[in-house]
Amino acid sequence: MTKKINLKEMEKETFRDSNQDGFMEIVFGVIFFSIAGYIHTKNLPILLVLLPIFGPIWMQFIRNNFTYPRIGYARPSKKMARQIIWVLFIYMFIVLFMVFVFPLISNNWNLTLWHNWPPVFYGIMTTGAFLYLGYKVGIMRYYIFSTLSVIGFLAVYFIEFETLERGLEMYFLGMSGVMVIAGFALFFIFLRRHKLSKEEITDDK
Amino acid sequence: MINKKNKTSSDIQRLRSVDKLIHEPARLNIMTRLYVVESADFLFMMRQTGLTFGNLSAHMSKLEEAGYIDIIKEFVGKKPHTMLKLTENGRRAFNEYRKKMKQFFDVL
Repeated sequence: MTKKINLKEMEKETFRDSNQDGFMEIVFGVIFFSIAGYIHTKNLPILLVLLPIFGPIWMQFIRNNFTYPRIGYARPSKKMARQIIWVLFIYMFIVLFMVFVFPLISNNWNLTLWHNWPPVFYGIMTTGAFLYLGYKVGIMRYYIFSTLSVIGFLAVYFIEFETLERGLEMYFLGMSGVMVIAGFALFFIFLRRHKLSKEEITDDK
Repeated sequence: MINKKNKTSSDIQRLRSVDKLIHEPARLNIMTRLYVVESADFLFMMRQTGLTFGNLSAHMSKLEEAGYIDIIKEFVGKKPHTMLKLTENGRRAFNEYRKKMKQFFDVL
């Protein structure tokens, strides 16, 4: 009773606990991979179209079979989920707005000067998103992802690529690889740490 | 000086009006955990609170009787599954409890 109850901290702890299975990272990885595919093929890849439709069903199926029987299920508060989505949306909008304001300020619409800039803007977007998620839900690995994102977009900015798209493609492919590997590593750690109890907990116990 | 003493004693007296159903440590733990989520299942609550199945069940029943939580029974496949959710009444009672306890500790 002497321990101070911090509701905000408890909310973060619940979110952390529910997302320790690595699926969030795998989903991020698949999204980044789809964006890289889109940039590469110039066509909307089938994965990017199918992802919003089948992604949640697939994730729910896997979590129902692997995650929830081990650690249980908690639906996060709507207020927190709404706040995260809104802040990320506004942040993305501001960065995109800056992309168009920059040439106006510099009074130069010559796109050849922009050869190396898109990776920086996309990098700022993903870095900011990871930083915010790290702060909001208290998952430390998001700070690591945001650092890797900075390293990634700076590397892509300084390396000379033959085309504008090549750098972006490399950036998203790199981030996708990091996220998917991290996601699977977390998933295996999760499975090892949380064994299925032999005696199943049901209501009629 | 006398006034201050009276005020402190009346504040302490007010502690008697605190909701004893919530004040019990295990139930306070349950209420707090449910306050920060939309809903949670039985296994999740067991892990979070560290209570045993029987213990959690007993406290849940008391909280449900008071109208503080909803126990939603459903089936996932063929297995029974229980979801727990704080009711509006429960949220109000928890907020009231927090307010009273905060006032009390401020006086101390």
